[in-house]
Amino acid sequence: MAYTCIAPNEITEGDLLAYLEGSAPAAVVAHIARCPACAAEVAALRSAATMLIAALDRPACPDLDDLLLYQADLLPHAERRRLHRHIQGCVHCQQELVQLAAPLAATVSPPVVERIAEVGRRILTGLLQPASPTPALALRGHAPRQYTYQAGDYQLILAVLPPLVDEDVWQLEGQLIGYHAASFANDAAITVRVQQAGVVVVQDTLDEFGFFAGDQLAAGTYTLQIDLPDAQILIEGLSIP
Amino acid sequence: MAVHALRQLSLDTVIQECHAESRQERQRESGYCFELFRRAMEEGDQAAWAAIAVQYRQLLLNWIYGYRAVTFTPDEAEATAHEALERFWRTLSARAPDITSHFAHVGALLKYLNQCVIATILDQQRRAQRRARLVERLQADAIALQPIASDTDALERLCRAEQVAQVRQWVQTHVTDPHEQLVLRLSFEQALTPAQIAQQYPQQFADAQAVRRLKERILKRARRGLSAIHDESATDMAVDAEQPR
Repeated sequence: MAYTCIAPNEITEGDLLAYLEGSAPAAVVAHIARCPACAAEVAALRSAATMLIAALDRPACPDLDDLLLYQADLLPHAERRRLHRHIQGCVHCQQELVQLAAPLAATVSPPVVERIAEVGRRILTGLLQPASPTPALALRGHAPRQYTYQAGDYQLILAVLPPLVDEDVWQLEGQLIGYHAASFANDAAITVRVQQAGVVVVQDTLDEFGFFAGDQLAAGTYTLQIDLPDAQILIEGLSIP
Repeated sequence: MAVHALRQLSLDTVIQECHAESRQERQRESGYCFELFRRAMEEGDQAAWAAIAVQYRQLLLNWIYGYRAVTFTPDEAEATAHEALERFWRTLSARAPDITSHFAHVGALLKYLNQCVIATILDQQRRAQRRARLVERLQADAIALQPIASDTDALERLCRAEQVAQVRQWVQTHVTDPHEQLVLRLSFEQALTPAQIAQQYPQQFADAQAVRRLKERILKRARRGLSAIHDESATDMAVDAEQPR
C-alpha cells in the first residue's frame, strides 16, 4: 500500500537522513512515529544506504575476472594499460596479483574428517600386530622390515625396503588383504596415499590383488591412508625405516 | 598424434585417452586432454564440458584444499570448484575462445585453471571483507541501521559481486554532479558523517544539513534506480528493523 505523508510541512529534505543518523530533532522523530509514509521512506533510505556501503568498498578496483585476465595476459592492450595504471597505485590489487601468480599445489589432501564426512565412510585405524621373531642380525643396517596391521576386516602387510644405492630414501611395498576389486561395483581406482604433515609424498593405486608400492621415501614418520569405497584405512605413525 | 587425426576421433575416445594421459607424465602427453578442452571451448561441446568437470574435479579439489590460508568444508570446496570452472569458461569465452592460439598445451590451460581457483578464492575473500566492513559500519552507525547487521542473508546478498557491480554501474551513470560525487565518496567510502564533511569542506557545503540534503537525494534516486535489488533487500531488512525512539 502506498502512503502519503500526513503533514509534508513538518518535514524538510535531509530530515529523514538526520533521523537515520539519530540526530533528528524531536519534532521530526515524533512526525515519523505518526507518519507511515515517512517511516516507509526511512526504511527505504536505510536499505539504499546499506547497498551503497556494500558496493563502495574498493570501488576503483577491477573485478577478479579482469585481474585474472591481466595476470594471464589475455586483455587487449588498452585495457591492460588501464588496469596497469590502477594496479601501480593499489596495494590490494598488487597483493592479489602476487597470490594469482603463485600456483596452488595439488599435493595437500583434504582433511581426513571432512573426506569421511563427505561420503559417510567408516574410518578403520590400522593396529600394528605383534611381529614374528626376527633374527637380531636381520635388523641391523638396511634390512627390509615388515609390518602387519589389522584394520577392521582388512589386513595390511607393509614392507619397507632399503635403498638400492647409498641414499637415504626407502621403498614401501604393501598388500591389502581382504580387498577384492570385483567385490566393489564401482570400478574406480582405490588410492593409497602416504602423507607427512598433511602433504602427500607418495600416491599409488591398488592393483587387482591389492598390491601397491611407493619409492623415494625419506626417513621419517608418515600416515598411510587407503580410500576404499565403503571405508578409509588409516595407519598413523608409520616409521621409515 | 597429429591435430587433424585428434579432431577425427569420437568424443568418447578423446575422454578415455585424456583420462589415460592424465595418469602419465607431462612429457608423454599426446594432446587428448587439450583436444577435450578445445572441443568444449571452441566448439561449445557440452558433453566435452561435462567430461572436463568429471576429469578435473579431484584436481580442482586438491588445489582448493591446498590453499593454506582457508579451511574449506566439502560443500564449500565443491562450490568453489564449480565456480572456478565457471570462471574458466566465462573469462575464456569472453576473451580467448580460440584457445589453440593462446595456449600451447594442456599444461598451460591447467595453469590458467589453477589461477581461476585462486581468483575464485580471492573473490570469496573480497566478499567476506566487504561483509565485515559493512557490519562494522552498520554497527558503528546510527541505531536505525543496527538490525541489518545481524541479517546475514541480506548482507550476503548485498556483498555478491554481481550485485556490487550493478550498484557501481548505477553510481557511475547517475551520480555525475561533482558535489554529489564528493558526498558519496566521503559518506560511503570514507564513512564521514555529514557534520564532518561540512567541517572539512566548508567551501562546498554550508552546513551538515546541506550535506544531508544531497545525501538523501542520492539515496532516493538509488532506491528508485536500483529497485530490484533494493526491494529484495528491503523486504529482508524491514522484518526486524526497529525505528529509533
